[in-house]
Amino acid sequence: MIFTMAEVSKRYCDNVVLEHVSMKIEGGKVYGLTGDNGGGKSTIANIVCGVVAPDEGSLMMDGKRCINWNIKKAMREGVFLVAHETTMLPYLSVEENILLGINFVKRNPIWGTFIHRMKYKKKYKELLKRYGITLDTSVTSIRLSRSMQNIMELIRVQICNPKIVVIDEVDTNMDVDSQKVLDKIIKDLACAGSAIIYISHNLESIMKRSDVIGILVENQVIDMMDASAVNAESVMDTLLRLSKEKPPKILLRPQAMIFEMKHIHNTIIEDFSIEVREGEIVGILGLDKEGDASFTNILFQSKGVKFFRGKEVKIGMPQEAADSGVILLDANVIQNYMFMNSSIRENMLPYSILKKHLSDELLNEICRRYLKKLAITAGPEDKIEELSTGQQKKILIAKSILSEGEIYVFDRLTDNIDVISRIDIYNIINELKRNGKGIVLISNDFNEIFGISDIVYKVKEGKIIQKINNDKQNDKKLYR
Amino acid sequence: MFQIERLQMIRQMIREQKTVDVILLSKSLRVSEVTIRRDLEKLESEGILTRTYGGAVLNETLTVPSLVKEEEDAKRVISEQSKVLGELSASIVEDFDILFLDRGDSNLILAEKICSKNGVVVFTNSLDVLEIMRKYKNGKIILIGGSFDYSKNILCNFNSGVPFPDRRINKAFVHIQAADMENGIAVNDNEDAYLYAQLKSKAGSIVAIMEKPVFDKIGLYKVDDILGVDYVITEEGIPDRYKTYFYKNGVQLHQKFDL
Repeated sequence: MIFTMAEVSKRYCDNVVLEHVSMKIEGGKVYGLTGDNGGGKSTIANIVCGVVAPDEGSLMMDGKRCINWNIKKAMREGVFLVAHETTMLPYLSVEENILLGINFVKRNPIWGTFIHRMKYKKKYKELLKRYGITLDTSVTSIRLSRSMQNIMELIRVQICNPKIVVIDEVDTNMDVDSQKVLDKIIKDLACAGSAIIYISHNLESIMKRSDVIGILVENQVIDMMDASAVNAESVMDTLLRLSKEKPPKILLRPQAMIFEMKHIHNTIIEDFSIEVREGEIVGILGLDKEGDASFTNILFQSKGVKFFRGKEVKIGMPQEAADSGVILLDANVIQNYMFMNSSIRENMLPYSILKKHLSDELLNEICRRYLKKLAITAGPEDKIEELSTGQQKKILIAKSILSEGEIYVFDRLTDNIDVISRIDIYNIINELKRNGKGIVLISNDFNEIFGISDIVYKVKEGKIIQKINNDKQNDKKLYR
Repeated sequence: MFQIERLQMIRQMIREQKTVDVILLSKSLRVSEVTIRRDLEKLESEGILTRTYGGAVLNETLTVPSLVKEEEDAKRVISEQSKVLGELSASIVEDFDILFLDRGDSNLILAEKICSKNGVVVFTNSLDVLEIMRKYKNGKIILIGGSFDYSKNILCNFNSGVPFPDRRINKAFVHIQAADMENGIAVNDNEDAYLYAQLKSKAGSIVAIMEKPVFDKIGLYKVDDILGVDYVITEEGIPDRYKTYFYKNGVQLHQKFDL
């Protein structure tokens, strides 16, 4: 089996996500894919599996062009996607979920499906036995951990003898036992002749599991390297060498301490301690987007002590944080922050301003002023959903600024946004820094974090493994 | 409220907000519009603001005494934009940096800010920069020699017989007069062009200070390709495609956001 992507490009409005990407996928091999956080990797996954159509370029399966490629056609051809966001139906049983896909795989009507159902049931039960999984398959899938759900989805795909399996960021925050099962599944799939596209941020897991490694840098896939010929460091070097983008960096003298978190711990995180000063940008690499290893959880739901200007504070929910002067903008779940059907004004103004009961005219004026300050070309009454993601994020930044905090925490703020918004946001963050605010940036974008932060904390497997002083101008040698 | 109190409030307001509106003022100070207009007239005569239709704007000036005094005791007036660009420039300077500053306006502000940093060495050909930094004890100012040019208040190194300093410079802050995607960046003065050529070989990084009108223009002396610079200090409203092009090609782009 040979699947090729040729000169594929994809853009969302002005934001080019993929540019003339070509890849050749052969059965029986594992292709590891890593790189920037511009959404390019997931876009490749989506294009291969028919979820989105490319703007330019072509896809070919075994020499035949894939015309009007969509999910149904992809699945019929044996191309499947298993992503971090699980697609198990929560209130069906595990077994029902696993056997759900059979109807797609076999075209023929009723009798054919019935007989095949028995065959597949037997198959998946054998696999569970082979991987040492002893759960009760009659329980509803919502009872399973996210890791286990992903495993079940892989098994669901495995019993269909897939030609290509795309595994997208499934290993993030996966427990050790599930990781071992994941290893076995990937090996079995490859042995059976399936091709695997394995997408991850974790360089070590990619090195371990792949035969060939591709790096996605600046919307292009570069350097498909033989995995046995390289180590994690050289891949990292290539990644950083090729990524030319340089966030603007400013230098200030360190000032007074504002916020400290000491010995924060939960089921995954061990002894997490950070400090944030006035006029300082603290970058944190290696946290998750959600769950116990996410900053939101660390801030609100974990054990440990927090100090604001030397005094201990209790922060159990967003309002308590805001009262203390800590403003959190978790852009991972940006939908939770925005009222999509509402105007920009309704989204921008925080409660602290609304409760002053100012006139409509004055509120509009405040809104207009901030729209101008942040270079957003829209009016207060325009609908927020009409803006690009980058501009929406700027609106939320405006809201954060209007909330007048002293510490701003931005989680994955610059993921998936256009370049102009990204540059503007970096300069906005620098201005906050100049104004003596403390900023915490959470991201997995090495280039961004090392480009703009004064202090960098690296988190791995729940522990802070390194704290780096980054107070020089953009020196790439510090990336190690 | 007495006029004297009103005048004080208006002075403060206009300093903060840069503009005031007659109608809003009359509402918030609770006097008639005519009264406000009289107040603004008085403040205009003091030189603080300039009246406009419906209100007034703050007179932005920063003055720098010239090293060489003229009959009228000429002062150099620096625009608000230059002030902003100078402050941006200052935030990328590290302690113990070795810099070059050209005679552009924003560098006068930069020079002021450098005085609060440690151990910075400044090379310049501008006598105005020298004047601002004369009291800087924490570092050094080195004047690049040449023939005195009265109108620009600089020492002109080109063809003067005085050699350009043979020292490594970390960052060179130069003002660019024209920038174009295909035709590169340019200056309009041959001394500036000569200096750029010298700096290109001796400086670690070139910091290009580019105001908005500079973009999509072609100048007299091309000094470099557009990606030849390492930092760009600019203002809002520059064409998006330049921003993208700089960023994607490793140029740090700094722009002020007034929050």
